[in-house]
Amino acid sequence: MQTAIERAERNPAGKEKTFAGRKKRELRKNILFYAVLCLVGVFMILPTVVMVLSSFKTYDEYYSLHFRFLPEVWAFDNYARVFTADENLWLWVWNTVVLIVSNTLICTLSTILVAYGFAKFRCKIADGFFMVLLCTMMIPWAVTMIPSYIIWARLGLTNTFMPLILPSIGGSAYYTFMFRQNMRGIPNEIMEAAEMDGANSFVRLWTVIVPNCIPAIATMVLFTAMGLWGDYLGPLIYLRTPEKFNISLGLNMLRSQTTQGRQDTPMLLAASVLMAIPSIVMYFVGTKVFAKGISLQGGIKG
Amino acid sequence: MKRQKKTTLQFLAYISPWLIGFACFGIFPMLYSLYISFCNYMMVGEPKFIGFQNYIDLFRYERNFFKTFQNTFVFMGATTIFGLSLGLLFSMMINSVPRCKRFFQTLYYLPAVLPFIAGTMLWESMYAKYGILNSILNTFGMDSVNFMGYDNAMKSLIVMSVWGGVGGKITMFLPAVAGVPSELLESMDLDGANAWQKFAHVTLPMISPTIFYLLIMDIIGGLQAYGPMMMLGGGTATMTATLQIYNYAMVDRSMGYASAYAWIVFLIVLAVTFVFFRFGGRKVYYADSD
Repeated sequence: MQTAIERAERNPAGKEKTFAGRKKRELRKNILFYAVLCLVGVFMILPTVVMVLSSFKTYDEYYSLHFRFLPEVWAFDNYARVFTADENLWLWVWNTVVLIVSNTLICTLSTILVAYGFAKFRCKIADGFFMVLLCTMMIPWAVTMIPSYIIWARLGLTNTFMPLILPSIGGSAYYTFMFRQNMRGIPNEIMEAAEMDGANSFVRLWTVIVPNCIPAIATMVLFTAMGLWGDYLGPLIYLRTPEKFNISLGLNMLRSQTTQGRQDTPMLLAASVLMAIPSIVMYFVGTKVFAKGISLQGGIKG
Repeated sequence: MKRQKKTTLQFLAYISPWLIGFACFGIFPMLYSLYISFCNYMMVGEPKFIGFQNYIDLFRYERNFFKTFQNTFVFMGATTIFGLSLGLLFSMMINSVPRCKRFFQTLYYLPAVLPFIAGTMLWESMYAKYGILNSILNTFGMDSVNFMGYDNAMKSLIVMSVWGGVGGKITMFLPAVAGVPSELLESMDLDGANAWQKFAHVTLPMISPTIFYLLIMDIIGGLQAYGPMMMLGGGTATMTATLQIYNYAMVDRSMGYASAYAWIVFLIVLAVTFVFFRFGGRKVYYADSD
């Protein structure tokens, strides 16, 4: 009896002791983790910070071998020089916007239609087609790039936007996968109720399915637009003359120009900073939308 | 029966954009590429059929063939291993701290948000002979390093790629790590398991679908990398298979030879992916399947 009381008395104390010990260990672990995360975070952000600060350095200071973190004199004219660097600059911006709007629109619409087909029309051949769709993600770019280039060149359509816009009619395999996952989550009872009201499958898509997939669709629109804003390797193959360039190709052209045998790196860094700003804005808007309930894990497992 | 037929027709109608796209920009170019790889074609006149000559030339006379593939595999292996392990490590750390999760996630993802050309200029200015890294080294009294020289170029590109890619991995890993049931981990705690045992026996199996997905994507992407090498240079030290194909096709215009090269790369990608599916796929644990 006494031992039982003793044990009961000892137990809370003992428990508290391990609890306190656990808390202390937890605290130590958190401090360590925060320290590591911050340290690595500094390395992640440092190149970008150095780029921004270097974009404010004068040409001479940039090339002097003595490194200072902050610019000695803040040379804002690096940014002014970006806008006078090439006469086609605003044309490049316009071309980029044209490519973004047309591609994002076509690609998103196609992806919605295709994903709807795969999600809501169960038939024998659907699974086979879906496997093929997934496998297309594995076709190396180099295999299709060369024949596509030959075909577009024979059609006389290189140095136009056609080779960059038309292929998006097939939609994106990755987002088809994601949308299908989302659409299958919408109960068939809602669809059947709409069918009772006389809505055909196309009307049901726009009145029932799409409003329920807005976060996924918005995610695709934003990330597709973000990708196209910085797209370089696609246009590089097809666009030849400076009037047809997008911003990335234009900047790359400036990159190869030199003054006094050196490139004007501070100006190029300023241009890079300017170009990064819309991407960063789109990303932050995107994560706000993204946070509203898309589970990537669900998308991966299939 | 009639309804089934109607469903099939509707299905085909809705997926028709993809069918058209796949036929025009997938199947057709692939078959054409296969045909061209057996031809001599320099973008003038008609392709001339020469049988297996391109493939024979490729294995016989291609200079640096093995060096190129070695580079390709080194780049793929290093970016995959470092990217995945660091991504997983940081995700678990971010997941376990009580506050600022979103802040760290955003911070680590920021490099991936930079447009390709901006990232290129950033690292070019870092690695240049009179660039930022060397001026830092000189300021502290150290000798300049030739970051894009023969010995260092590949390492420099790997650092750059991991820097840019780790944020994307964290974005994929975080929901997976957060989805590991805490009851399971706590019950392991009560059994006196240490951190490594909890990781190896609970966390790792639970997130294995995500790891496997990222692994496959990294392998496929890594074997086809050419952007950073093309922009930052490095010559034979960083020449990868896809960059070599790009040069043969777009600079030399020998489309047949480049196509043959591309098919060799395709077969290698298929083989490597198959091996990983065959031997790695078995170790993946899916909670929703028995």
